[in-house]
Amino acid sequence: MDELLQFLIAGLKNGSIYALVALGFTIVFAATGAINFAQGEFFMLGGMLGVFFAGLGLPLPMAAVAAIAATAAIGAVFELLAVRPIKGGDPLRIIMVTIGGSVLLRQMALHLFGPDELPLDPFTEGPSLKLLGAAVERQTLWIWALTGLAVVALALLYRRTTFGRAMRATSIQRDAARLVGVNARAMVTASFALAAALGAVAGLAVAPLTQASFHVGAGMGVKGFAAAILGGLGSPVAAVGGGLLLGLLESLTAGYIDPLYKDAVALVVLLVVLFVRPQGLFGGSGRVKM
Amino acid sequence: MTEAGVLLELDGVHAGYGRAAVLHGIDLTVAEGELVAVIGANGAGKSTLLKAIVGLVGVSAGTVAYRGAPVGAARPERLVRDGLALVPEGRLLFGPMTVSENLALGAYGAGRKRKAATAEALARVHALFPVLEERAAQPAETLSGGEQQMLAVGRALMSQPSLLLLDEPSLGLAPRVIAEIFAALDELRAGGLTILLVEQDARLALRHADRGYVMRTGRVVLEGPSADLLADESVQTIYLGTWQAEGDDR
Ligand SMILES: Nc1ncnc2c1ncn2[C@@H]1O[C@H](COP(=O)(O)OP(=O)(O)O)[C@@H](O)[C@H]1O
Ligand SMILES: [Mg+2]
Repeated sequence: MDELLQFLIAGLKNGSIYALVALGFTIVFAATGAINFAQGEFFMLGGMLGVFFAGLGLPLPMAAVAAIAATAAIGAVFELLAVRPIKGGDPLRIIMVTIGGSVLLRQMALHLFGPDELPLDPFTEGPSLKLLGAAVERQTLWIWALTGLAVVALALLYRRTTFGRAMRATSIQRDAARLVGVNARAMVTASFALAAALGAVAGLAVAPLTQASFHVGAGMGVKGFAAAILGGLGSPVAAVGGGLLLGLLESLTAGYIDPLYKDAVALVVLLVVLFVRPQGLFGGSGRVKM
Repeated sequence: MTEAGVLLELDGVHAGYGRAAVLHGIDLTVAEGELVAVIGANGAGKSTLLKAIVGLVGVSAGTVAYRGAPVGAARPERLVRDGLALVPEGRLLFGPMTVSENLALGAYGAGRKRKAATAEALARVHALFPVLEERAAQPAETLSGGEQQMLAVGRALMSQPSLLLLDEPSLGLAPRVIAEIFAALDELRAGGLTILLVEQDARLALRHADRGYVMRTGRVVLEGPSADLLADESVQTIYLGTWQAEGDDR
C-alpha cells in the first residue's frame, strides 16, 4: 500500500512535467496543425537558462522568471525565423523545420553552456515531507504547484482574455478570425512563445531533481509528444490528462515490472494509441477545441 | 451618383487562386447608402470577388479603392478597422465558442473609437436578432442554420462597419428565415449602412437592391438598376427562368 502510494506520487510528479510539455505540443498544434518537435528543447532551455541566470547571481525566483521569459522569447524568434517563412503554413514543412530547429537549439545550448550536467538548487530546502506514510520531496510539491498554476493561468488566458479568445478563434476558423481583425500570424508566434514558456516551466521545476543538461530535450520531447497523443491533441485538459496518465503508467511499470522498461512505456503508448485510437483517449471529434 | 459618394470602387480587378485566374477585370462601384447586388450562377466568381475586396485572395491586376484610397495589399485584419466587414460564405462561425464570444470577437479589430461603442453595437445586434440574446451562452455550432446566419451577420455588425459585404446569406435556409434576414438587411440599409450583397437567388437579391451586377465566368456581363435587371429578358431567361418555372413565391 505504502509502496503503491510512493509509485503514484512519483508518477504524478513526472506526469505533471509531461503534462506541461504536452500542453506545449497541443497549443502549437492548435495554431498550426503541426507537431513542434522542438518542444523538448524548450524544456531543456528552461533548466539550462535557469542555471545560467542563477549563476549570474540572480535570486532563484528571478532567475526562474528570467529563464521562462527568455525561453518564450526564443520560441517566438524561432517561429518568426523558421516557421513564418513557410509558404501557406504547410504543416508537414513546419514539422520538418522544427526537427531541424531542435538540433540547432541543442547544439547552441551545448556550445553556450557546455556538455556537463548542471545543478540547480531546490526551490525550498529541507527534508522530504510525509504524506500518508509516503515521502514527498519538497520539489515535487513545487512541480505540482507550478503545473497547477500554469494550467489555471492558461485556462484563464483562453477563457477570460480577449487575446486568448483571439487565439482560440484563429485555431478554430483562421479566415474568420482574420475577418474580425485578428492578426493570425501573430497568434501563431504567440502560440510558440506560450508553448516555449510552458516547456521552460517544466524544465525549471524538474532541474533541481534531475540536473539541467543540453541533451535532455529529445527524450522529453518523446515523452511530451506521447502524452499529447495519448490525450488526443485536442484540448489543454486532454494534454494534462495524457501527461498524468503517462507518468502513472511509467511509474507503475517501473515499480511492478522492471525499472528498465520505464522509458519504453512512452513509445509503447505512442504506438498503441496511433494504431488503436489515433484520436487519443479524450479526443472525440478529431477537431481542436481549446 | 457623385464621385464623392463612392465608397467602394473596383477598377479592372483580376484575381484568383495561385495560377488559377478567376476574375478577369471587374469594374464595380458601390456608393454610400446603396444596397448593391451581385448575382450569377454557381462558380461565376462572386465569392472570389468579395474575398479579393477584403484581401483574402490577392489582386493580381487592377485596383480596389475604399473611400477613394487604394487598399493595395491590405489584409482583412486591417480593413475591418477602416469599416469593412464581410459575412463570409458558409458563415465561418467560431463553432465551439458561445454566441456571445462570437459577437465579442466581432468587435476585436474595430478601430479604437468604434470599440468604445461596443456595448451599443451589441444592443443593436440584439435588437435586430433577439434570438441571439436568448442563445448568448450557447455554442455557435448548436444553433439552427438561420440562427447561425444571424450570428454571422451580427458578428460582422459588431465592428460597426460602414460597408457590409454579404456572401449568399440565404443559402440553405427556409423561406421564413430568409425573409427575416432580408428584413434585417432592409432595416440596416434604412439606418444608413452601405451593403454589397452576393446572391445566387437573383430575384430575391434584386428585389432588395438598388442596383445589380450580373457575373458570368469572372466577368460582369450586365449591370443596372434592379428594376431594369428584373425586367431584362436575358436575365429573366438565364437567372430567373427556373424560378418562374417552379412557380415558387417567397
Ligand atoms: N480556394 C480555391 N482554390 C482554387 N479555386 C477556387 C477556390 N475557390 C473557388 N475557386 C474557383 O473559382 C471559381 C469561382 O468560384 P467562386 O468565387 O466561389 O464562385 P461563386 O461564389 O460565384 O459560386 C470556381 O471555378 C471555383 O472552382
Ligand atoms: Mg460563392
